[in-house]
Amino acid sequence: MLFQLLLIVLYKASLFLLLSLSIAIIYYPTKFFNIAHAAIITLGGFITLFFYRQLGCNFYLSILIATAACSVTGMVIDLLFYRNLRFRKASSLSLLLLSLGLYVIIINIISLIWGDDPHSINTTAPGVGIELNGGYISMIQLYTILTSSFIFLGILILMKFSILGKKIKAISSNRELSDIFGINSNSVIIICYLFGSAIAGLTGILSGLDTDISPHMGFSLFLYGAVCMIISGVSTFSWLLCGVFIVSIAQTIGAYYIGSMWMDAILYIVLILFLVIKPLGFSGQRLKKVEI
Amino acid sequence: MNLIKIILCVALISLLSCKRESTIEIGSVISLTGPAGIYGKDAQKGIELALAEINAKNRNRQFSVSFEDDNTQPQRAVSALSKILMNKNIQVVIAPVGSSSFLSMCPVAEKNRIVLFATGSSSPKITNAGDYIFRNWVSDDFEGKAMANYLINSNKRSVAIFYVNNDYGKGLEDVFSKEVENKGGNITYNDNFSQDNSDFKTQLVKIKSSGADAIYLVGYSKELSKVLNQAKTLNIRIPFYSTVTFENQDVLDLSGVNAENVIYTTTEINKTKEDTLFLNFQKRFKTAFNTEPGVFALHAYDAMNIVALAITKVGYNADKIKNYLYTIQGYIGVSGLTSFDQNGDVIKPISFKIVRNGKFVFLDNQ
Repeated sequence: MLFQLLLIVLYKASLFLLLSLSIAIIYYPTKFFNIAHAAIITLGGFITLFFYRQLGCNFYLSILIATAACSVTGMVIDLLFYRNLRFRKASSLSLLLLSLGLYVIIINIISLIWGDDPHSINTTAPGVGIELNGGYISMIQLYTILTSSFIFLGILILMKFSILGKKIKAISSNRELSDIFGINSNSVIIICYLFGSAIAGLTGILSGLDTDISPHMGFSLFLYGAVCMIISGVSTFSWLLCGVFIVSIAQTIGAYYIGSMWMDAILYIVLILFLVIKPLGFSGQRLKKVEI
Repeated sequence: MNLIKIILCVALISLLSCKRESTIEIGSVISLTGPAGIYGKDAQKGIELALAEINAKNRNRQFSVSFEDDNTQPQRAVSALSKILMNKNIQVVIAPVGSSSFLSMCPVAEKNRIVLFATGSSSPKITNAGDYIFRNWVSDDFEGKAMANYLINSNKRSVAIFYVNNDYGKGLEDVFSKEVENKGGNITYNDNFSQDNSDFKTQLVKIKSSGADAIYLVGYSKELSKVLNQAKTLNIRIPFYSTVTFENQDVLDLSGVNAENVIYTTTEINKTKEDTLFLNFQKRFKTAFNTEPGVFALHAYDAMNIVALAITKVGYNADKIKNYLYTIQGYIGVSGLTSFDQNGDVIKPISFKIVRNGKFVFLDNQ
């Protein structure tokens, strides 16, 4: 039974890791919470539904198309909306409100087309999971854990060894200075949106395969990812591991020993504790800002 | 010459006012979206069919129903009711909504002295909610007690109850747990989940290790199918029991084979016997909407007809309608016999149904 709980924690942590990664990649260079991201998570699930169930395409092809579509959507949102506000040096608050508006519009369009009720991407109901040492885990959950580890390692390698990684760090530190030094911050930001939205879409699909999709699934997933990111701190991506494990362990323990109503409450209690005690997050490091 | 013109005008006007129909407007707050949306849409079809039939019978007296959606949220239900009541002509509101929404509307109805009629709300709290409050759906007292007794009689004495956290779930949980303990059973697990929760894994693990030999699951179809699916993945072999909200095609679509052998209670009576009233209704419903009527459509259809009957008998005035409704005994409808007691409640027998081979069938037909 303990091992079963461990499996649940592992799965949740992987899901949160993917979520917080996708948000962090966009947050680091742009410094605002992109709520439209939640809509992109939902979009991933629904586009897969459209291609797989309604058009009858191959399963893996549908996932590929959906991920690509989400990626492009994220990029388009940046090009059309955020870039202008960034150019005019708008405050983070304005961008936040804009992203909230975009979220509402996209979710309502999804609701208009597919309705408010939950849909299932799978054609058959799930069977018994794979047994591991007394605990059960489904194939989807296993895939989520593998995908999450894969992508996480990929991003770490990218950030550490590639020039793109260095550019992202530079822009996160100080955008104006990076521009002066010749790094085209706008195109790097677009690449971040491409990556971040792709991961977000993929996460939506994985979550949808595990527990059916509905128009509002994206928002709670987004909140989980955002909380994990805040708790982890904003220095490097590797610290995200701590945040996601803290959250998933706290949630699972809380739900098990206290009650399911406390799952979300515990999440926010942990967040508040961290903001009060360690406002810079788990890593406790501030991103080095170079001031002129 | 002028006199003739005047006479002609007066004659014309009186002719026109004779031909003008008096349309009686009835309001309806209904769950068309949200977790209870599927039940509301079912009920709406019942009301619309009844409306069409009533209006076809009497061309001089037309009824109309204006629907307002509550999105399965109590605060929306109250604002929907307030919006309806801005039209001072409306004296009756039929409300196929969940118990939480209905209970929140009761004080508003009482204050404005209009009749509020529930067709699918089961909380025991509605019994004493007011003088103008009626319902033709039985209180949870019956459904919860019936299932509790069934489980005890089937020798399942260690029961887990997992319910949705609103008035519907809480009402049932209260009645059910008390009855199980009264009859010598034991509630090994008692927890709830919020209306939009989608992750039940941790709770299911807890239920599995609580030693229960039956799980009473109370919720709306959205969560029910998720619980069943997640339980299957975790290899939980404990049988599930549920309530009337389980009977919905969505649950079968989303859970497939995981819904097999789930037993649940319903107020629908086994109509495989000859019941011409019901069979005719079923035929007309199918012709009109191309789908089978659910149990919520049956009750809403009866409610619309009962309200129209009352209005025809005593006129469109809330106080008169209210007093007339209290006198209704033995009204024969498609949902069975309706008799209102002194609280505006009804008593109907509870039947058991089960999922076999992907279909909802009566348990005593096995």
